Amino acid sequence: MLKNKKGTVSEEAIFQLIYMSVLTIPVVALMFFIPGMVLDNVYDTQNLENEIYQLRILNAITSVSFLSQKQSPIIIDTNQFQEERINQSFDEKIFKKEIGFLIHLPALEEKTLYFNKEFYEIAKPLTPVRYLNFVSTYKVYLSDKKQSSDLVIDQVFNPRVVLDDD
Amino acid sequence: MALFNSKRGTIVGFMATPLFHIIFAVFVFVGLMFFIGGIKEKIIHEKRFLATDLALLADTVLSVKDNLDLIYYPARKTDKYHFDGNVSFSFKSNKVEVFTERPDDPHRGIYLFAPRKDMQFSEKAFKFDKSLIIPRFSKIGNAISIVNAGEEKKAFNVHKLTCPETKISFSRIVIDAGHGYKESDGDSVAGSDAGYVFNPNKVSVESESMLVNNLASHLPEDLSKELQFTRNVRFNDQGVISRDARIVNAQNADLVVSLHIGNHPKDFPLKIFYPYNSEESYNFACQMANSLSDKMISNNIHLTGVSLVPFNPDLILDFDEVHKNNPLQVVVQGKSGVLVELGSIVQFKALFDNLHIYANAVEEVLRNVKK
Repeated sequence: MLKNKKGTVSEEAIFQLIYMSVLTIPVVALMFFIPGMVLDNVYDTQNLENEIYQLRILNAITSVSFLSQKQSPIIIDTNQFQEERINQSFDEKIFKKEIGFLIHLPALEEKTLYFNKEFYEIAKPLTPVRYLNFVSTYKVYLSDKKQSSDLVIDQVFNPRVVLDDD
Repeated sequence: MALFNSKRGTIVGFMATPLFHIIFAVFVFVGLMFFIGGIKEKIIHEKRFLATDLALLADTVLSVKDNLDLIYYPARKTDKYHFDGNVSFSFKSNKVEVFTERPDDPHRGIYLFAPRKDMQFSEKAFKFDKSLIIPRFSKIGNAISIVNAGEEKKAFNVHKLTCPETKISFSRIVIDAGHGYKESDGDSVAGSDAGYVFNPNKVSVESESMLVNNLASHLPEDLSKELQFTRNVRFNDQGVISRDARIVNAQNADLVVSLHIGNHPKDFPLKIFYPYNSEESYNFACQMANSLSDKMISNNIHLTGVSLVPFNPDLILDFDEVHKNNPLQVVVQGKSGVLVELGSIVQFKALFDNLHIYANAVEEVLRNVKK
């Protein structure tokens, strides 16, 4: 096809091939990526899922209000600021998502908790290319220390979730 | 067209053919997308969207601290993105699956949620032949469930509190059929009036005093014999027993339970006051609140809220002008004590007609703690 009567490849045919390729490759690429972009946007939870996980952690480590006997979202007793509470909030044995948390009180340097520490430490340097990062900061009151502080929840996760894992 | 023509016509041969192919391919592609989009809307998108939405709800139910009773209403038929109801749901330990025909449907929608160690959904599948299903999530304490709202009409007690697990028991329990006082009667002897009066212009005495006396007298006789009362609840002793006498009768009790009716223009809440420094009082108040709210909800009585209200007994014991008429004066006479403020006198009929229900709830707790 690319040979002329003399049996050699003509310059014109090579140019034609390159020209067609330049025009065709973007079209083919779009055919692959556009459906994914359109559909994934529909299913994107827009960080709602991540916020729910962080509020779950917040609920796990905050204290019960003395007056209302309800969970107060802003009061933390540092004696109860324990990893065990977070480990109860997620069952890593059947939790199929790759996710890790660092929970930190900047006012108390020694108070740092982890969930899935091993994954967190591997994945954190690989954000935002291989893994994604979602960080929230809450204002809390440390009831036993009688001081306010920020509470930083740093979440690292794999956005590519294997849905059908049977 | 001159642009595409040279003398030898090679420009047309060079450009027009691939351009035509590409334009044609784009048209085919766009048409194909619309076609696939239509199928996707009907087959995959709907199921995957529902699975995502339900998994997020499951995550939320597992994350909130308080109780909830949540009915998931999908979009209506008239909405653009409605679902037609011919789908089944399957909640597994860590994911939601939505399918149309078989559970192993290769095009089923799947989405993961984050399970907890301390509370888990029991695996449940809803296969519906009907046109519509309405998943209903409930979380009461650590007990969570998913049911079909179309079939499960039972009301969940979202007011239920998580009580201490410590077992409590009391030997000498004193029941005080109490009442407040009419602020307008500044000169009346404390405790000698009928408390809040619903409608003073009516001939019948629709008073707090009458209600609490009746409530206490609804307690079964065998239980009543084991209890003590600050007043005789079998007849209206209004004006006969003063608050001072009730205080004396409550002294040295292991537990004082003072029964009152609230006064709220619109709401019908349950409030239980307890001394903040008494763990046994708090434990009893919690059990009483749960028993009353359980019975009220299961009998379709519209309860608008439950509160356990701590108070400082040292302030109440300061028998000064401010506190001389405080109903808590009776409560603080016991080692433990609570003041139950039930509903609102404004809804007198709802209270009066259901006295047996409230009495039944009080009886249940008293039998549980009586030594």
